[in-house]
Amino acid sequence: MSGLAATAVLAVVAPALAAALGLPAGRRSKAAAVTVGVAGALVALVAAVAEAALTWDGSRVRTGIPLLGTALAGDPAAGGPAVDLALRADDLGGVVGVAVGVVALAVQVYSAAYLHGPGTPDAPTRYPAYAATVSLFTAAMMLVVHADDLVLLLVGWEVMGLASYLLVGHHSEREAARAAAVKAFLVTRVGDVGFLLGVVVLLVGAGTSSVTELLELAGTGQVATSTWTAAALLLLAGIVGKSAQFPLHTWLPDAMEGPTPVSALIHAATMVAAGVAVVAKLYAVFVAAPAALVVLAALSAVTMLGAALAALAQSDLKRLLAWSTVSQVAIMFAGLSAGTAEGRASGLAHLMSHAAFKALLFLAAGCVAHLVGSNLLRDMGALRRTAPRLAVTLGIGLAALAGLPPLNGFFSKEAVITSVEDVALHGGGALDQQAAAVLMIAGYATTFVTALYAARAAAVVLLGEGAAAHGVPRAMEWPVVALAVLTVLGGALLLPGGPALLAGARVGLVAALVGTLLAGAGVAVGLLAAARPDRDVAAALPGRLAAVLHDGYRLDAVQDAAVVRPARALARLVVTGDRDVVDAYVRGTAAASTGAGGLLRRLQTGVVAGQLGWVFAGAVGGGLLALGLAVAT
Amino acid sequence: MSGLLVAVVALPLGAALVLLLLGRRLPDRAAAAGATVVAAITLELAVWAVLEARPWDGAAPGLRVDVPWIPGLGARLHLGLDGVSAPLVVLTALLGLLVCAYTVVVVPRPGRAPALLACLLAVVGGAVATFLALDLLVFFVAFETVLVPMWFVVAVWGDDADVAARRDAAYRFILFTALGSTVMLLGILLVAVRAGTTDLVELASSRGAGLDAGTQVAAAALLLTGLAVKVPAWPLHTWLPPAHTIAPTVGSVLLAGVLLKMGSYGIVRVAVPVVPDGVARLAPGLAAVGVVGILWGGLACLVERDLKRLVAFSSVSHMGFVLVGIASGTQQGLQGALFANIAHGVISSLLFLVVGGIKDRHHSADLARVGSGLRDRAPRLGWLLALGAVAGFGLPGLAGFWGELLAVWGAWAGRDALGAGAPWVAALAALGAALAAAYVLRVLRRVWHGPPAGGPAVPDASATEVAVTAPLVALVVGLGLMPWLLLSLTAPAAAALLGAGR
Repeated sequence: MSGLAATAVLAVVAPALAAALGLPAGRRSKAAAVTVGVAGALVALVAAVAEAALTWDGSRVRTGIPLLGTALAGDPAAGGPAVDLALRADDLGGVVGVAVGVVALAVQVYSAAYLHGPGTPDAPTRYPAYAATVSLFTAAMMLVVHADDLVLLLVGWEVMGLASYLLVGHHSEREAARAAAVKAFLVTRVGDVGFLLGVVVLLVGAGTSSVTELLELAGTGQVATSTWTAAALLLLAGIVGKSAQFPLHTWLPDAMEGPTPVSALIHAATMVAAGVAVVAKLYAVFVAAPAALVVLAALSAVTMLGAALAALAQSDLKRLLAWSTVSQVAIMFAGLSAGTAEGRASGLAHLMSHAAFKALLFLAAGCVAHLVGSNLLRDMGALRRTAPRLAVTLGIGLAALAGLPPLNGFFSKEAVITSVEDVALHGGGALDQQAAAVLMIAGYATTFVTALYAARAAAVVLLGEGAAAHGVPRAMEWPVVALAVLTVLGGALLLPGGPALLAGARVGLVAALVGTLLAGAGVAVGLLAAARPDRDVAAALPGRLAAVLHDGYRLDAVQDAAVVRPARALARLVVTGDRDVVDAYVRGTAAASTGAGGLLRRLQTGVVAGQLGWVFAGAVGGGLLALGLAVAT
Repeated sequence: MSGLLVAVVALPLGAALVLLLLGRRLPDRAAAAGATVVAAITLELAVWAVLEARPWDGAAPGLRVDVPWIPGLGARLHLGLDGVSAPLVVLTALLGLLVCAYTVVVVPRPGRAPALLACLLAVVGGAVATFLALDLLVFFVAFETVLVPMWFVVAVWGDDADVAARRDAAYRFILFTALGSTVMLLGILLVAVRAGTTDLVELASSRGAGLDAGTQVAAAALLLTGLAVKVPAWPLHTWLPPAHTIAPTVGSVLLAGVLLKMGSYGIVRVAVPVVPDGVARLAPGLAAVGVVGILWGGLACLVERDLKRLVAFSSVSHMGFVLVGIASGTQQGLQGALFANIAHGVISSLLFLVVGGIKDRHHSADLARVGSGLRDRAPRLGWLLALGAVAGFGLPGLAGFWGELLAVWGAWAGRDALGAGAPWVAALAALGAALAAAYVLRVLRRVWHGPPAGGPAVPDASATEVAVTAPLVALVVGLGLMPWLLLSLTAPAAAALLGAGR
């Protein structure tokens, strides 16, 4: 096995082993569980860094790295269809793998302090299970970015869903956590019906589920456009679910019921990023299906602006961040939907930026909650006085979210808008030009709203008067500081000499200027509100609008009325049907047979013999009847 | 080495006979220990036979026994081991070992372990014979052998909390399956009389040549209907939930892991290659029945309150995937059906062992009576339940996934057999997989998650329970991660059944 191949295998297998060993290790001591979890993430990170280094210029790719063997769907002699469960090492796996590894490592270290002691009665720590699940989550995401086969990718994809279910419901003593866990899994699973069918469409229509072969086929015209379109649209259903895009985004704001580091994991580099990684991975397939790109562009336009507005009206810091994730992932999809090499690079660049600053924001938010004992914005304030160092890091994260130069969020977001703008003004992408124009306008509007809510959060949490408080544990602080450094320096990835994967991303002058102006305006409006007694710009929203935005446009109610309740009603109908219709003829037969059995019982002794006698009599009678029929015909 | 085939059938049946004869003279423990040893040897013989037969090398049965049986009827005792039968024979022997070992510790009321073990071993022997039979008459006789001991297991050792319910369940079981057998027998006789032979190898190689279209359709209808009872296919499934609810844990394991498989195996072995044109004509109907079963069983599970009934309804749903795979008439569909068959046997056996353990502890399998927080109250039992449950909804990476994927794939590719409805069958089946997640998570939310329920503390999974479930856990994970283990075993035979090797 070449070194490059080994990096991909190691990136997947190391956290998987950590997951398997985590529970037995945890039985010994918490320290053992911490060690195993951290080691798994560390090895995965090192492997991904090596992979990224080896593929830095984008020229080296290793495909078909054996992992789980080949699943034969047909006759081996006739060369029937088969699924080769292999891995792929390339620059996408390396670069995105680094983001996954960094966030996973930060989360494992941070969690050791965050989930300390036995916990409370309604939130016991259960550390070994927790750390093992985080490792499983990491392994699954690594599998998604490294799979060379869509069926194998699906394994990682769904195991990740399971891990999110386990982690969101970690403190299942709370009803809200149980409900959120089930919702997170089921909403994404509904989308995954589409994903599974998309894979099947490719297996039937293109004759393969190998990523490498599909990428080769996509440009050649050997496969009908209708196959690409159908497959891309079906895959998109699963991608929209996993990446929490409209209309399947409803699970993500609720998912903050999980412990805060879990939110960092889900929001920053795994789960929601998985959809982006898959589109980037299968980019040639999506480019071959322009209709799917239009759908993706439309969904991302709606999602980025809608979610940003919802974030503006949140009263809970974690929920605010959750909605911001929905919006920011939509920005990544906006870049990808352009259908150009530049668009792909810019979408991935934003994935990298977002991974750093969103992990930073969630981990910092966890520290804030640790200090004030609440996630509610109205309980927070004066962080720059009570915990200055934490305030600086949180401020950096919010500034990156707002897209202020020179932080990483600025560069990648403007790169996305530039790539969309290029298609809107000059064409040349697989995306329809008018769709690109709409998307560009949505992007600028989102820039303003994002800066507004980021500044609102800064004004409420950082500003105000208060006294210094006790600090946060070192293990919680270090990951935050490290992520803040990455957030400040991350824009350098787009400089010449950066990874070839992101080299296409370019920040246009117009986008940079307009974006900075809009972001600056948003920040200014948000910070001006700091003069108000509650320092909250959202308080200026009309009450009814604020309520609708706060509740995420009440889509939960729609989902409940359109899916959940009809399904339950249908289920009750089925049970009634099972009892009163399907089973009715059975009971009729039973009544008749009891009569017949009664006759036979007189000839036999004992209940058992009577029943068996009837059975044998029936069988023999039936057999004779059959013989007679056969002879007669 | 062909003697292996006879031994693997004769050993459990002979041991059953001995246990019956010795009867009450044997103490329970000794009888169970003895039966466990016999079952272990049976498993060993089964594995040995598979290694000798090398089904991955080719479609023809690697081991055969073919001797005259009833000369007057021209019937021959024809047994053979190929890729379709090999996994089922091993699974049956394994489950036989597990239920015997379980009985060493847990003997359901009213006791009398020797008789119970005799029934269990008889079921194992009969099922193995069914899976090895290469002659229609041998198949039918073996198929019927299983019925009566299983009936005893339900009727005598079943849950005695409600005697009327037990009577009803046992009645239903015997009525349905005997009726199904009778219909199947009609089909067998029709084939035998028209084709002039009962030899399955001969019948399969002629691929229905000699049988006119009308006969094929009639025979296929009779065979499919009769076997569908055992599968069970909707709407012939209503015997299964009561039977599972009442049956003792060991009975439920054999019922789900072995008996249901005889139905689906029969369709693959007796219907598909013998009357291929007839099956092809009825394929859309079979697929529709399968899809309705998938959704019907899944929806029923959404509101079902009794855990054992719930697992039973989920079986209806899972066996629907098997039917869809077979109906697709494609290699991947058939491979999926064979895989799903085994996966369901493994997963539902695991679930019935766990749910049976839960029921024994709480004296009820009602979701509300069992209560929440099992993962804290009994962590090992909780994890076993969680694993079985997520495997049950087909989580990729666990055994349940591959059968469903291949069945959906087969259905989508199965335009020849299913016509324009093929994508709909595939889509609805895939939707059933999402439905499965919904009902599984509902159970986990109410039983596994949540604050620990009050009431008396329950013991965690005992060493026996862990040991008995361990092989199943290993199979659930192993087959999930390395599906080729099973797929390459069945591939040549599956291809041959569809006539690819013609």
